[in-house]
Formats: sequence, C-alpha cells, structure tokens
Amino acid sequence: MRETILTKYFSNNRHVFFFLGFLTLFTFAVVILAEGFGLGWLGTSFVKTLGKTLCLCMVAIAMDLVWGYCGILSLGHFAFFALGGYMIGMWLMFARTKLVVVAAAKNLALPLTEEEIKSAVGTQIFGVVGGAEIPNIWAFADILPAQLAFVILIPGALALIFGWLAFRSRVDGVYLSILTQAMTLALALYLFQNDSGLRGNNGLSGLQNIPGLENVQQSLVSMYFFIASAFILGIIYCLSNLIVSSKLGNIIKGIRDNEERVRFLGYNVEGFKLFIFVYTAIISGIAGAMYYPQAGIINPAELAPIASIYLAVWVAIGGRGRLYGAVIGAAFVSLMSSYFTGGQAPDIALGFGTLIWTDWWLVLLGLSFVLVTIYAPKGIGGVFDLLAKRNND
Amino acid sequence: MSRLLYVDNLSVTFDGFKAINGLSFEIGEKELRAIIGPNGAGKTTFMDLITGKTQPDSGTIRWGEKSASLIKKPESKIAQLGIGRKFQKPTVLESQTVCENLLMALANPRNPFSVLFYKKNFEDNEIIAKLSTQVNLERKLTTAASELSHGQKQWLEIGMLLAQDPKLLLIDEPAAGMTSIERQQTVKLLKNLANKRAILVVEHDMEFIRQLECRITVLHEGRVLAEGNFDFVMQHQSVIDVYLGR
Amino acid sequence: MRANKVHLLISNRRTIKFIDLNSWGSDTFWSPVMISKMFVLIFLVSFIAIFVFSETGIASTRFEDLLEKNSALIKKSSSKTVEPVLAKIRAFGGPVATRFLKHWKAKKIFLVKSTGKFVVGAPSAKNGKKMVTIFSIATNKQLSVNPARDLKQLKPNSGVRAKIASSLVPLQLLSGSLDERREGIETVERKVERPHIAPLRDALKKESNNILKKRLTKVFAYATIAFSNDDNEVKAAIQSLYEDLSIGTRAALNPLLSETIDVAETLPTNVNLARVIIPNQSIRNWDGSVQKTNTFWQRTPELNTLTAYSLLVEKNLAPNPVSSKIRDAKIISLAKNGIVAGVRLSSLNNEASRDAVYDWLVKNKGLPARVDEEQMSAIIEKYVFFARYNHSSKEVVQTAIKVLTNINRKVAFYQFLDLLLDGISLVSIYFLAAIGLAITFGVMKVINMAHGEFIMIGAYTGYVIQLFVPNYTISILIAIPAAFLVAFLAGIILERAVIRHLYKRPLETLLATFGISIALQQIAKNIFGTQARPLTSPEWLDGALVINDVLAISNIRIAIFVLGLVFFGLILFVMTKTRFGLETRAVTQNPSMAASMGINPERINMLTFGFGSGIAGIAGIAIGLFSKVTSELGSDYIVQSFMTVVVGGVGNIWGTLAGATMIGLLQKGIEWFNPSNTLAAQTYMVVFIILFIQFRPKGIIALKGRAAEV
Ligand SMILES: Nc1ncnc2c1ncn2[C@@H]1O[C@H](COP(=O)(O)OP(=O)(O)OP(=O)(O)O)[C@@H](O)[C@H]1O
Ligand SMILES: [Mg+2]
Repeated sequence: MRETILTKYFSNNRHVFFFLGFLTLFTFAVVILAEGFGLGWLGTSFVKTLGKTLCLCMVAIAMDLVWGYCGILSLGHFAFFALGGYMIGMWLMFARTKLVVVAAAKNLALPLTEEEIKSAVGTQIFGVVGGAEIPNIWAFADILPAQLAFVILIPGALALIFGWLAFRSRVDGVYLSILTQAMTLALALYLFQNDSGLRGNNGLSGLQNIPGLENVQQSLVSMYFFIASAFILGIIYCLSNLIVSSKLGNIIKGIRDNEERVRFLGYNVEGFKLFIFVYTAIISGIAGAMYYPQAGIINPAELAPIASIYLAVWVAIGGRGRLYGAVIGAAFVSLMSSYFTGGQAPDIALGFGTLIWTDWWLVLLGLSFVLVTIYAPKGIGGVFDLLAKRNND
Repeated sequence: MSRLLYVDNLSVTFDGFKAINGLSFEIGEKELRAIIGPNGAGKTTFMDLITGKTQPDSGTIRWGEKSASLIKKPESKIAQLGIGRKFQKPTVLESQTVCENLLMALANPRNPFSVLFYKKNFEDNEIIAKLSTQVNLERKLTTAASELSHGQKQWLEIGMLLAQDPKLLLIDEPAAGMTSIERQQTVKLLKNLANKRAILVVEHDMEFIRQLECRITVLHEGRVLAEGNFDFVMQHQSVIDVYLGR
Repeated sequence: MRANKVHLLISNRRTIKFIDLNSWGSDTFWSPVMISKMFVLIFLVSFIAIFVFSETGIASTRFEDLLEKNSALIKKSSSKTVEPVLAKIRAFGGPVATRFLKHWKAKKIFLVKSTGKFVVGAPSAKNGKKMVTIFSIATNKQLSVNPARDLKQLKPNSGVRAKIASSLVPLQLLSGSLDERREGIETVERKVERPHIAPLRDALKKESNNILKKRLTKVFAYATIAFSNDDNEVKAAIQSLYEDLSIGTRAALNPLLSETIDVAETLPTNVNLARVIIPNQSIRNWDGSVQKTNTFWQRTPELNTLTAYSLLVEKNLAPNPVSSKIRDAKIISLAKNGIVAGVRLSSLNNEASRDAVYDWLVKNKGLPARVDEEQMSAIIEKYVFFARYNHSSKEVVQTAIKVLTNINRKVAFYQFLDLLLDGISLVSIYFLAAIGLAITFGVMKVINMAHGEFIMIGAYTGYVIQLFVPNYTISILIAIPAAFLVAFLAGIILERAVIRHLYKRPLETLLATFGISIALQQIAKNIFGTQARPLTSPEWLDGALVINDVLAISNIRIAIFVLGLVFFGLILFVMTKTRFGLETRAVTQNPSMAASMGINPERINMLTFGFGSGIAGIAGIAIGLFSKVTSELGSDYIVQSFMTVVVGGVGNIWGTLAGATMIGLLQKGIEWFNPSNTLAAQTYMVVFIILFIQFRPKGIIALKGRAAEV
C-alpha cells in the first residue's frame, strides 16, 4: 500500500520535472537564439515579450492556487502585481533620476548638497503632477533592499488586511469576487490621483533603464531579466507544487469543495484561506516587480478590471487546479494576445469586409472564453488528462 | 457516568421564530443517545448550536470535565475539543481519495505550517488502515470519494469523524438513503463505537432507533418533550399527540 | 421699413433741438406783412423741410467728424487709450452714439478702406465670395454690398469692449426701451464704476418696471458701498443687502473686509485693527478674526518665522537675511583656484560647511552677516504683527461682517440642499443602474458582469434612434421603450445561450458574463468608434428650476429623478401585484418548491433576466442624457451597481433603493468634504463599502429565512 502511495506521489509530481526540464531547455534556446549572447535571431523586444510572459505565468500560478485550488475567485491579484511593480519602479525611477541629476551637476562650482539633490530629483519626478516635494512614501526609494522588501511586504500586507477582514466576516463566492474587484478599483482610483504620490495617471516610466547598468546594452539587460524571470518562475513553480502536493494542498482543495466539512474537521478555514491569499499576493508582487522593468512603464490603467479578468481567462483556458495548466494558459493566451493586438497578424478579407485583428481579437477572446467555460471547464489541461488516460488504458 | 455535555435553557430565534426554545439537555461520556422529533422540531439547529455554526440568543452550553463554555467559540476550535459532526447530507471531499479524506481528519496539528510540512508516518498509516476496515472501505483507499456509493460516502464520513477521535459524535440522519443491510451494519457500527465515546444520533426511522437500544430524547418545537427508553417514549401521550397530530 | 420709422423718429427729435439751438424762427415769424407772412410761411415750411432732410446730414456729419478725428484711436483701440474717445462719444450722446457704441462692441463696425469712413456691416456670402452689407452709422440705412476685402472689421479686445459697455451704461439706463435699460443694468451688475453713480440715481427715480427697479436698487447699493465716502450711507446700503444671496452681493461686500498685514513696535491705536497675529500660532478666520493653531485640523498658521521676518525686511526694520543662493554665489565668486577660506569648493556638499565658510568670509572679508532662523525668531519677538482693515470705519466693517455671516450661513444651507438634490439624482441613477442586476442576482443567484453592457446597449439604442428621428422629444419617447426592448432581447439571448448552462456554477457565470462584457464592449467600439456619441436631451430639459441665486435644479436632474421614481413604482408593482412577480418571488425563495407547484423556473429565469436587462437599457438612456455615450459607459457603472446591490441586500427592491441611497448620498457627502477631488471621494467610497460589508455582510435589508442561505 505504501508503494502505491509513493508511485502515486511520483506520478502526481512528474509534471514538476517535465516543467523544469522544459523551462531550462526553453531558456537555453532563447539565450542561444537571441541578440544578447547568441545568434541574434530573436530581437530584443521579442525577448522582452517572452520575459514578460514568464512573469505573467507567475501571476497565473498565483491565480490558480487561489482560485483553481482554493476556490476563491479573486479579481484583485492584478492589484498585487501592480503594487509589486510600483515598489520596484520607485527605486528604479528614483535611483536613475538621482544619477542623472548628479551627472548634470558635475560642472557646477559647488557640489550639490543632499537637499539640493533631493529637491532636483523631486522636481524631475513630480514636475508632471505639479509638485516638487518628494512624498513620504518615497522615503526609502533610494535604498534598493528596502524597496525589494516592499515588493513582498506591501502586497502581502494589503492581502493580509483585506483577506482578514473579508474571510473573518465569511464573505465568499461571488461577493468576495466583487469585493476584490472593488479593492482593485479603489487602488486604481487612488493611484489615478495626482497627489497619491505616485505620479497619478502618468505612472512611473523609464523603468527599462536600470541604474548602474547604463553602459550595458538593452539586448543584454533584457537577457538578464529573461533568465532571472525563468529562474524565479522555476522556484515559484516548485514552491507552489510543494504546497499543493502536501497535506495543505488537500486541505485547500477541501475548502474549495466543501468548506463546511473542513471546518468541522477542526481546521481554521479562514486561516488557511488567508495563508493562500497572502502567499499568492506575494507571488503576484514578485511577478510584477520582474514584469515592469521589462515593460518600462507602469500606470494605474494597468489595474483596469480587464486585467483581472485576463488572469482568470488564462487560468480557465489553461485548466484550473493544475499548476502547469495556469502556465500554459498564461503563455498561450498572452502570446496570442500580443500577436493579434500587436498588428502583426494579417487581416482577413471576408466577402463583406475585412477582419481587422486588432479590432476583433478581444471579441474573439471574450467569446472563446465563454465557450471554454461552458464546454471545457478543464481547459487545455483537460487534453493532458485525456492523453494520460489513453496511456493508462 | 460523568457528564460530557451540558446544555441549559438554550434558545435561538430566527426572525422571530423560536427554533430552539429553552432547551435543556445533557449527555454523559460513552453514552449512545438518539434524538427524534417531527420535521422542523429543531434537531439540526440543536446540532448547529453545539458545533458553533449558530450562536444561541441565550442559555449555556458546557463541555467536558472543566465545564468550559462552548458559546462564541469558532467551529474549528469546538471540533478540536473533540466534537465531531456528520451532516444530514453526506459531505465528503469528493475530488480526493478515501485515503486523503481520512488523512485530513486524523488528529494531528492543524495549523497551516504544520500541515505544509506534514510527513505521513508509520503510525498514521496504521490508523488509516484500521479505520478503513472499520468502515468497510479498505479496498477503496485510492478511489476518489466522488466514485463511492451513497452509503459508502456516509461511512467514509463516519470514518473521518472517527479519525478525528472525538469524544462526542453528532450524527444527523445516518440511515437516510441506506439499504436495509447497510442500516443494520450502521447500527452495529454505532453501538460498537459507543463503547469508546458518546454518540448523539438524530434519526426519523423508528426501526433504526429501536435497534439502537438506547435512551431517546424527543424534541418538539425547540424543547424536550420526553426522554426515556424506546418503550417509554412510544407510549408517552404527548409524543403520540405530536406524531399523530391532535 | 422698421429702419425708416426709427430714422424718422430720430429726425424729428433732432429737428426740435436744432430749432431750439438757433432760435432764428422768431424774427421771420413776426414779419409785419401778411402776404409776406404767408409767403414766408410757405418758404419757411419748405425751408424746414429742407432742414428736416438735411439735418441728419448735419448731425451725422458731426458724429462722423468726431469719428474721423479720432479714427486712429478707434481703429487701433486699446483699453488704455480708448477712454478719451469714449468720453467724447458720451458727450455727444444721443441715439447715434448709442448705436455706434453697441455696434462697435458687437464688432459690427467696419472701416471702408478707400474712404477711411466707419460704417456698420453685416457679413454675408455671395457666389462663394465673402461680402459685407454696409449701413450708415448715422441713418442705419443700407448703403451697399461690398466685397469683404474692401473693408476692415474693427475688433476691439475684451478690455475695450468692457469700457465701451461701461460708456453705454448712462445712455442705456435712461433709455425709453425696456430692453436697452435691462442691458444697461446687466452691464453695471457685472462691474459698477464711479461714473455710473449719477445715472444710476437718476434711473432709480424714473424706473417704472418693478423688476428692473429692484435690480437697480441693488446695483445702486453696490455702487454706494464701493464709492461713497459717507459711512452712514454705506452702512445703510450694506444693511439693505441682508437677505441677498447673489454672488454680486458677496463680491460687493467682500472688499470691505480686505486687509493689510502690518508690523510695528507697539500696536498702533489709530488703525482699524482686524487682529493681532502671533507668528507660528495664529490662524485667520474668513471674517478676519483670529484663532490659535490646532494640531487636530493641522491648519497652517498665517505667518511663520520666514514670512514674518520678510515683512520686517520689507519695512526696513530688519537686515536682509543672506539667502542660500546669495551665500553660494558669494562663496563661488570669492574662490580662487577652487579654494575659499582654505577649503576646497568641491568639498562643500552640505549646508553646514557652506555656512561655516560664509561665516569666515563675514569675519574676514566684511560680508553682511547671515541671519539664521533663531536670530530671526529673536528679532520677530520684538515686534507686534497685526492685520488692519483697509476700510477706515470700524462700524462699516462690522456691519459687513454681520451681513456676510448671515449670507454665508444661508448660502451654506442652500448649497447643502443643492448637494442633497444632486445626491438624490445620483441615487436615482444608481437605482436604475442596479435594480436590474438586483432582480437577476436575487432570483438566479448569478452575477451578470455584462449588465453594464446592457446599459451601454440602451444608450446606443437611444443614439441610433436620434439619428433617424430628429425631433428630440419624440426620439426620447421612442427611445425609452426601444432601449428596454433591445436590452430585453439581448438579455434573453444571453440567458439562453450562456447562463442557462452555468446555473450551478456562480463563479463561472461571473467569468463567462465578463467575457461577454469584453466582447460586447469591443463590438460597440468597432461599430461606433471610440469617440463619444451624444444623446441629446430635448430642449425643455435644458433649463433649470431656479429657486434662488444659489439653488437651481436642472430639469434633467428632475427628469432623472422622476424616471427613477416611475420605475421604482413600476417594478414594485410588477413584483408584488402581478402573476409574473409572484412566480419570480416564489422562484427566488425556493426554486424546487416553486417548480413542484407548476411554475416553470426556466421560463421565469429567462423572463426575469430579460426584464432586468431591459431596465438596464432604460438606465442607459438616463445616463446617456447627461453624459456622453461611449463603449465604456457600462463598465463605469458596473462596480457601483454591484456595490449598490451588495450594500442594499440581495433580491429586494427596497434593499436596492436603500443601497442606492446610501451610496449616492455618501458619494456626494464625501465630495462635499473634499470637493476638489472626486477621485478621492470614489476611493474612500469603495473603502467604506468594503468595511461596511464587514459589519453587515448581508446588506442593509437582508433577505430573511433560508432563502438567504443559498
Ligand atoms: N438559518 C435559519 N434561518 C431561519 N430559519 C431557520 C434557520 N435554520 C433553521 N430554521 C428553522 O428552524 C426550524 C428548525 O429547523 P431544523 O432544521 O433544526 O429542523 P429539524 O428538526 O432538523 O427538521 P428535519 O427533521 O426536517 O431535519 C425550522 O422551522 C427551520 O425552518
Ligand atoms: Mg434536520
């Protein structure tokens, strides 16, 4: 009997080895083909797209954990993603502006004082929103380790407070979804204000220029980020698999299927939900912190409701309740999206008019998502099930 | 026989409707007790109150040697104190195997971190093996719970409760939807289990109740109408009135 | 025709004046010979006739002379130089001057390039060419139609136009025409000037129209307040405005409270003191009184050390402090080879080191000393800072404060009322937007994320109908049922095609309908483009119900409120008094029980969904009327609508009303506290709702019994 459980465990976790193997191969392939170190067949912008896609896979894993495994349809994880981006963006922008200011002051007779540097940086960064003072929330913007810690702490803390409030009063199901949506909206509205201290709707920009790496070509920088993203994705995948294949995984699946039963078995359901919610918020924050330096700009429009829905779409199309499903869904849909909305897809001439992909892609996506929800609730992952079944038979 | 659960003058109102109305009740350790009563008598609500799912408006619920109050304790805490509950509808975790279901119920630490790093050890395996034979599911350990029959699900649920090793088991209508053979097995099982722990059974099937051969409490309109052995209760005038209608 | 009549009238008056001026008639009239009398009479008549016809010629010649003499100033008028010309024109007076001024102000005066003469012109077009029909200034007769390039239009700037208007005032105030007088009063109401006092006083005596008289009285009071030197007269004028809430009154009274901040060694007794200011401590209240800083509200003090000190510097009571800029410049200019006072310039990267170097320079090079903040405080200590009213009379200022206090209190009240009414119309909007959602959510327990898009569909339906039906009243009347119908059908299609398959999976319904919402939005974008489309309200909805100067309720607000009320009643009726409503409520409370009683839940679900969607369509019309129709119209309201449903309590019309009321009023309330920032208001709003749900997870009006547990 122990043997069967052991073999079962291995077959359950085989996907981890497959996944890591594939990710390594893929990373090597891209490194060899791209401009940075290798043959130069893939352009820098494409490498960036791939790197960003890897980050999106990370949030998708988070979404899968929280929704596919724990049954909480959160529409707020993109808020955590963006918060992570903002936290790292603050350092990127501050540190770089400071370098620029100091460089520009090189020829002045008197060297700049701390305060002068601060006020010059302040004018540079906040001029667009009609301010010059550096807001208090930027107090640590100069210190990379602090901002890196915030990447984890701020989304984590928000998730902790929000989750504690919501789970404590037993808000669940669609109510919780709407509430998370409201949280995202509130955050977006807050960030849209000019006096939010985060440059209102201008957001943070120039994030692709990494302070200290001014003399390194973007093709190389993009490579660094790509490799780092792949690495972090690998770690997150393993960590998350550790969770879902442990007894904790059984419990959160139990919460999804029958919360009451788990509660009367003596588990503090709210605590478990909170644990998963915060853990996934932190993953999202990290993903955002990796994503936005590759995207170059972050603004509150990123928090539009559609972003959260995209997240759900990826996971649903990839297949809920399996980690590789989330990754496949995110990669597949987001690459398709950037292909079709990027204007590369050829328009199709129909008898009565032309199908312009940039216009109709969203319609197609929306409707195919509806079809997937109704007819293929297991998503692409369901295909793997079929294959596995055929192999067993 | 020392007192395990003591309930006094308990009342709860739903929008002006008194579902439980000044109910007093007690059960001793290792006692088997049946509760009967017409539909809407408040049997399920009574269990909700004990397990913390519903909060009473007034009254006391005391538990164990120390007579600790159960009021305002969260459900999971009450469960950890040793009160297991079987619902009216069988509730097992359908997407997981019988083994996983039982494993989850085992009396191990229940905070997120200890379950994250939990490693199945030899004793736990032994317990699961023993439990599964007890509830006739030893061959189904790797089957998903969703593939079990209705009766098997009921047993699995009881198995899970046993894995919790509770001091008091609350069982709501266990015989519903069982074949007569399964019923007899269930009666045997319950009697057997009562050797080690207190059990409170709610059931509508009088034959089933009779076979349990235990003390019976009759609930009506949220209060205790009569209490005694099967024959006493069946001949009690007000019980007859309530069941047959006046 | 009309021009001729006016012309005659003017000529007659001119004639009389002419005779008066040259009292020549008497000699001729008293001639001793009768025949010659007759003769002379005939002669005279013809003579007069000649004069009658030529008189305008003479007058106009005169006016035109005046214009010609000043033509340079008129052509290139500026508000600084135009006054002398205007003075002459005023002195000339009469209808010609009035007419000229009015046309000039309206940019209707043209210069004939060839002759250098001024004429009145009306641009027109002929065969695609720009033409100007010109009229004589003096006679207002049409002269000719000229190509535009032969003329130069005079375009006085706004400053000049204001001056012209002011010059017109005395002429207009005493004019025989009601419209003219009204126009004159309007000008003074905008800005009253010293020269207007006399004409105002005259006009006040003569004015027969009651409304105009009231307005004149008020303006005269403004003029008195602004220009009179008699304090008692001013006080009376202020008192007369006690009940008046208009902006003009407040603008007239506020200057009386204007003040100057001053400083002296001891508090002077001969000034109209407003308050004593303690730097870093006192805060100014609106009426000039004083209050201490309050850490709770964190209002900044009126004067801090720096501002107080600079006041002293301004009054030459203290030495100029050396600013860091001057300090740094001095340090740099005195450095040799990058070294000053034995210190390398490149090491001066903080304030303290720069101060030290400068202090060394003060000692050794005789530069003026720095004044640091401590020293400033010490100096400030020695003086009294105070504010004095610029107006000399204490009593006048006190009266003004008293009247303003009253006015401000009333204005605040009406503003609050205005806000409340604003809130109520917002409530109506939210109610209309959310009620459909509440019905479908209540009955079917599914969240329809595409609800916002049904609102959008309704609005676009209205827009399309207006493309075909140009009469706005009729088109709106058609649009309301049409929007209901279109959204109703769309809702039924959605229910049949998608939602039916997902009844047991509420979370997936949410997602699937979100997919639909994305698709519908994009389709609308593809069809109608990204720019906003107007949904024009009929003219009778444009106006407002004016209660007083502060409170005016726009008709559209009233209409939306009425619409909300009507639909509230209608829905209440449908849900409580009809078979459909009864069945719907049965399905809401217990679907399986309802099914067993012969109600077909499928049919009910379908119809309810259609009904809810249809109401969303109507909400679309209401929303489209006051904001533009875009593809994002719905998504702007969807979260608010959900909040309304959730806060109010699910599956209950009264609950939705309660939710809409709370959210609408709250939003306006928060905006009131922070009017400059509607975004912040919305943020707080959402945060508040999140917290509210903590305490009442089931909403304000929770469904009772087991129905609530599903
Ligand atoms: N959450 C609730 N809200 C409102 N009323 C409730 C609630 N829970 C129970 N009730 C009412 O309380 C009464 C008792 O219900 P309960 O479920 O305890 O009866 P029961 O004895 O278990 O009946 P059955 O034999 O049918 O299971 C019923 O009338 C029921 O409608
Ligand atoms: Mg029951």
